[in-house]
Amino acid sequence: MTSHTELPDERTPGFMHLRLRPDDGAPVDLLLPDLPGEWSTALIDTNRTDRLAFMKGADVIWLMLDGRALIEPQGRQLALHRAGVAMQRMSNFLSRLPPLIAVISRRDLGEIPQSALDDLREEAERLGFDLRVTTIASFADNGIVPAGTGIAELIEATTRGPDKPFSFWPDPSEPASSRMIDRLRREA
Amino acid sequence: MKRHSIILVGGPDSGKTNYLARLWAALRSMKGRLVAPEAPSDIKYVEEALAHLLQGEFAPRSDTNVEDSRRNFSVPLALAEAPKTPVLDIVVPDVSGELWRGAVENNEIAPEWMKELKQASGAILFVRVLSDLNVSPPDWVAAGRLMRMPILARPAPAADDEQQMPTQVALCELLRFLAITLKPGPKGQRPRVAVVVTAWDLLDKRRATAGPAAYLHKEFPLFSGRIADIESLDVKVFGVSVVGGDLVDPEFRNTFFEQGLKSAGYTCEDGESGASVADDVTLPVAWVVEPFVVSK
Repeated sequence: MTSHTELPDERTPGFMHLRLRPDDGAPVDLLLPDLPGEWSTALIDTNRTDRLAFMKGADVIWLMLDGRALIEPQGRQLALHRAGVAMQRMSNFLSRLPPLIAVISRRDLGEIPQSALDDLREEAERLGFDLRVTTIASFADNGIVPAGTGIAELIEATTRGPDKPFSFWPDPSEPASSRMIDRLRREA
Repeated sequence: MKRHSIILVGGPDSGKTNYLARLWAALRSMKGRLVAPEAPSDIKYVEEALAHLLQGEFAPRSDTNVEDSRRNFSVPLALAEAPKTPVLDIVVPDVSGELWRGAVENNEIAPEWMKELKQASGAILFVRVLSDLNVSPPDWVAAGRLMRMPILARPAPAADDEQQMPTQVALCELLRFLAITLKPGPKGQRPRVAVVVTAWDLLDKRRATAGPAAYLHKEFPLFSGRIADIESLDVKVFGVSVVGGDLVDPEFRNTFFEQGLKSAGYTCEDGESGASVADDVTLPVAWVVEPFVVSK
């Protein structure tokens, strides 16, 4: 097992830059922040958002959930509740809600009941998020699900954009459309 | 938006913290009479207590983490009819049961909590069904017979037991504190006190259907009489079960783990046509804050 993320300076998240070149198509740059879990705890418990301002520029948010807690009946309701409060905090804090992907770890240890996933989706919808759920396995403890399962699907889901159909003439009153103009300016 | 304070009063093991945790979950779910349109900034205390419930156990009294953390819970409230418009902001100081027991036994209360009481707009007074810490008054019929037959009498109580005040006397004292300190409503109404009988699910069907006022009358007749008699407070009795069952029962735990808090927990209240049950644990708070909402 890898150790928990520990940072010498608490206010500095670790960023990983990945440039992926698909077999066909343009390269995709992923800038992945690796935050200490304490930051998420502080966001949920005390609404501490000052060090999370960079999230406002995110194109996609991954909500990382511990699959072990969701698989075990005793931990499931608490894990769902905490994920719900985290989404509530983000919906208040972010002026524009990017697509949200619930990334559930430890797929190698078992399946998550459908009812739990439905509860998560219902809560996300209530808070205005476009939520997709994906499960990954970073380890292969049961020997059946290989390590790395789900990672490719996760990146594919992240880079393909939202599930909603593309709007050729977007509504200018929607905040997201101004970002598209920003991009056009950068690329021009 | 005006801030109001509702104080939770009750002895140790009376269910205050578990109720507060369940109330937070109910307000968040946006499905009760009262809802929380936004999450307050600091929810660490209620989240710790709620974590116990969601993992299938009641928040223990001896949990030092819960005891040490900040005990005020402040939340903006809205009515279910207009869930996005907060009508008032309530602050709920959750005081440890030991403090109230000390207040009753010694007639002393710390100045900061006296200040909290004087600022409170209403209160919820807790008593738990079948709590081990409930002290029954002496049964004078049986006691008299035993006193005539010393050989059958129980051993002399320990020094601690001798000083224990019957629960119904302590409840009368707490009600007296509230009568002295609570502020009147916005139009001069009598301050409201909801008496919440917790662990209502532990009662058998016959006593549960009789309603919370009948339960108090049977178990705590002195306190019940005081409620009927008091003129300076507006008192209503509720029966509340925070999860709707006993988390010690393995069958109930399994159901609870599957369904969560969605349909768990209810409030029983007396009405003109008998006791009624509603899947809404916010009702006691909604009743206490009603004068402040109506006056807006």
